[in-house]
Parts: sequence; structure tokens; C-alpha cells
Amino acid sequence: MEDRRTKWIMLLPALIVFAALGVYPTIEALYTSLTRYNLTDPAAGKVFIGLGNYLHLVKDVRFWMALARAVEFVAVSVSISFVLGLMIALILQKTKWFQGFFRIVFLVPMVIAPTISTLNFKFMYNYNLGIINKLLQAIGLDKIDFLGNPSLALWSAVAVDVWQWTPLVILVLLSGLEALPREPFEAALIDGASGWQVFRYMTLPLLNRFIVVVLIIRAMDALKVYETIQLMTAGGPGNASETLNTYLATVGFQWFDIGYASALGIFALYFTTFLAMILVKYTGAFKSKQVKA
Amino acid sequence: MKNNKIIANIVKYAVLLLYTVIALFPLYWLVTTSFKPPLEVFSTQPLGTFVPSLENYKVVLFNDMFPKYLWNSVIISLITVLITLPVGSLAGYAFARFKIKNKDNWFFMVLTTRMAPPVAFAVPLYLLMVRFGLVDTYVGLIAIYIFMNLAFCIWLTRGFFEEIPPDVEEAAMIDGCSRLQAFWKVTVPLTAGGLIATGVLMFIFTWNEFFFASILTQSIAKPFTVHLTSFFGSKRILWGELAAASTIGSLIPIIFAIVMRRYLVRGLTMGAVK
Repeated sequence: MEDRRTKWIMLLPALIVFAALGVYPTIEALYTSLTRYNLTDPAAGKVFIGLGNYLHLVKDVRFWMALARAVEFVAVSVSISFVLGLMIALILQKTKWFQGFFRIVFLVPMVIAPTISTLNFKFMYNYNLGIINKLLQAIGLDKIDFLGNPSLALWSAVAVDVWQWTPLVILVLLSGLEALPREPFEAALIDGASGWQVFRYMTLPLLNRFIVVVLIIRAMDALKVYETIQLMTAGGPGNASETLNTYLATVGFQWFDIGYASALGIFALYFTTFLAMILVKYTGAFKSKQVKA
Repeated sequence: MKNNKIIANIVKYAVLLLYTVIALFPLYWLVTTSFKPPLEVFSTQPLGTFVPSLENYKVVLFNDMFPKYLWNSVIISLITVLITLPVGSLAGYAFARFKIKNKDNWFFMVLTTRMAPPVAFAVPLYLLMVRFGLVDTYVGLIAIYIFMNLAFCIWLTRGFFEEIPPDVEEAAMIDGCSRLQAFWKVTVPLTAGGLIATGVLMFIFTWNEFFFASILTQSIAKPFTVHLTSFFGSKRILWGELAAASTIGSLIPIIFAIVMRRYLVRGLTMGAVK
């Protein structure tokens, strides 16, 4: 009995925070998404328009393009960083030199602010002054307009994301590789299995749990990306690198179309919840231990 | 056979070397740019030598508002951690030790707040802050950061508490402690390392945050991340000063990460990889 009270005492502060800053704003956003409410026209106030914003959303080509780019961003960023990270992890596992050095080096891109890495890349990408183009010219190649070319801008942002988060893939998979038992691998090699067979039929399946975890985390983080695009290209040139997040910020905080931005926010919330459900329920990667009270 | 092995090794090390160069080059460029004299920042010699100068640091530290906003970041991050850590640990402990109905659904809600793009909460939180007059205040920004970090904190601390056998607490309770006293006197000291690591990670996340800070602050409570964008003038971009400010702003996260490296992967994977 006493434990029951203690339980609620312990949960209460957290519940208050979630209620005040999670649940209440979400409910307000739900209601606001059913209204026409633009801060540039304060006299009009909130006007109830039912599903008007959602109908607009369905028809809004710019929104669908932004969503498609967000999905592309996630897919490309996650797959490149995963393949690269797996490769480096497999090599690192076999090298006994420099392991400690690499482990420290790899921490750095992950923990510096995305704001900083993005602005730094922006400097390096600069068409006339950037080091990357200077190096390209030095070896006799043409300059590349990383941020001004509509077909390159989004991928230039993806490169920053890959640079920041490949180390996480490396470190997670290294933990996984270190946890593998040694004997079956030695036995397989003695029995004449090729390196590729061992990798394909033993290493990958045994690493499965780590692979799933790192893919989920990477996908979550890539879906949240905002600064990497906003500060590098501001969604430009034109709307060539605009994703769902930067579009939502534009609608809400440049046009002050609060009603429509709320509808977009509710969509983003459902979209990620739906993804989380698929990922977590079906992979069981983050299961908590069941405890006996 | 032997030759193949040598070639394979050469390829391996070449790949490793190439990756290391790519991984380190942006950092090298950031730091060296920060030490270049103003005229050298755009020098046509991409990798040429230069005489290091502290000019950019002088400007940033003495002729700019940067120190004030850096201090804002310190205060905001510190207070966020000092509030979130106790609140989150208590809930994390409840999750670890007690039967909670629909635990998985709760967890799911927790995960959603970690997973959803901050932008999704932006409009309603902005309206909330406007209504309570908390735009451009420490309180407003800290409240949002507590909410942003709480799920992470609950989940991570829960994992640390689960590693402690319940018997130790029960022994203390037989000796006359209440559950809360046992938690404070027995469990917290045993998990101190993990709890501190959780706090440090939350500090880094808060320190690095940009989006909410950019929509909720103008000048008073502005953290340094938002201030970095002010080096982009209408006429010219102060790359040297920006690099110096960025280098200073990266020191704390890097030092913290190196000190806490044992826990970093665990933290960044929400405790799924130990």
C-alpha cells in the first residue's frame, strides 16, 4: 500500500511536465488546426473552419514535395552512414592499433552542435572561397556549386548529417562485434567457409539487434533534422532543399499562418508516431524488462 | 595467398585512413580558420602555412556580445539538467521498480516525444509562451528543454536502476528506511556514474539546441547557438570570428563527451546498446 503512494509521488513531477508541455499544447494544436488563425491579422482572431486546413494540406503540392524530400533525406542519409559505418566498424574490429584514438576522434562530430557543423560546412562549400572548391581546382577539376545548384543542395545537407552521425553507427556496431562469440567463427573458417560466407551467414545475423537499434536511432535523428538545412540553404535555392520541418517553420514563423502550421504539426506528430509504432512494436528493440513488483 | 592478404590489408588501411581524413578535416579546418589572421581566412593557399594569431578570439571575446550569450547557454543548460535529472530519475525509478499499468504504452508516449521533430511542437509551445509572457526569458526556454529531455532521462535512468538488484533497497527498508529514503541513500549512490552521465548528456543536448532558441528568444535569453548566425552580415560574413566562436562553443561538449565516453553510446541509443 505504501508503495502505491510512493509510486505516484515519484511519477507525479514527470506527469506534470508531460501534461503541461506535452498533452496540453497538443490538444491546443488540435483545436487550432481546425481554425483560420493568422497572427498577421490579429483582428480576425481564431475562426473555426473545420477540416479546412487539412483539405488545404492534402492539396498543398509544396507540402507533399517537402515530405518527399524529408523521406529521401532520411533514406539516403541513413543508408550511406550505415554502409560506411559497418565497413569502418568491421575494419576497426580487426585492427588493434589506434582503437583508442579512433574511439575518441569519433566522439567529436556527434557532440558538437549541428549549428556549428552546418555553418562550418557552409564555409567549406562556398563557391568562390570554400576550401573544397579550392582543392578541386588545385587538382584540376571544375568547381562545384554545392549550395546554389538545386539538384545538389539537399545532398550537400545530407553529407553534413552523414559526417555527424556515421561515428554513432561505427561505435554501436563495434559494441556489437565485440560481443560476438569467437569460437563459431574460428570453427567456420577451419571448415573452409569463405570470408564473405562468414560475414553473410554469421556476422550479419548475429549483429541483427545492433543493426536494428542503430537504424531506428539514425532514422529518428535524420527525421528531426532542421538546422542542417535551415542554416545551410534555408530550403533553397527556390524550394529545392525544403523538407517538412523547414516548411513547417516557414508557415508558422514567417507567414504566421498558425492554423495551417498546427495542422502540419499534427500531421508530423502522427507521422512519426506511426513510424515509431512500426519500428518499435515489430522489432522489440527497446523492450523494457518486466519487473515483478 | 600471402600477397592477397597483404593487398587486402593495404586496402583496409587505405579505407580507414581516407575515412579518418574526411572525419577530421572539417574540425581541422574550423580550428585552423579560427587562428588565422583576418587577411588569411580567405587566402588562396588552401593548405598553406600561416602565422597563428588570436585576433579572431580577441574580437569574439572582447568586441562582441558572444560572452554574454555563451553565459546564457551555461545558465540555461545547467538549470535544465538540475531540474530534469531529479524529476526524470524519480520517474525512471518508478518505471524500474513498480508495476505500472500499460507500461509499454507509456513508454511509447515517451519515445514519441524523443522521436517527433521539435518543429511539430513548435506552434503550440510558442502560443503557450506568448500567453504566459515567457518569450525571450530563461524560464520559457528552460521549461521547453525540460520537456524535451525528460523522456530521454526517464528511459536512461530506468536502465541504470534495473541493473541494481532490488534486494539492496529491501535490506535498507527492513532497517527502517522508507522507500524514498532507500532510493536516496542506497540506489542513487550505487548508480551515481550513470546518473551523472545522463545529466552530462542532457547538458550537451541543451547546449547544442538551436530551433526552439531561435523562435523563442531575441536578445535577453539568447543562447550562443542562435548568436552564431549573427556573424552573417548583409555585406560580409565574418568567417574567422564565426570559427573562433564555434571552437569555443564546441569545447564543453567535446570535453564532456571524452570524460563520459563509456556512457555515450548507451545514452545516444536510449539505453538499447550498453
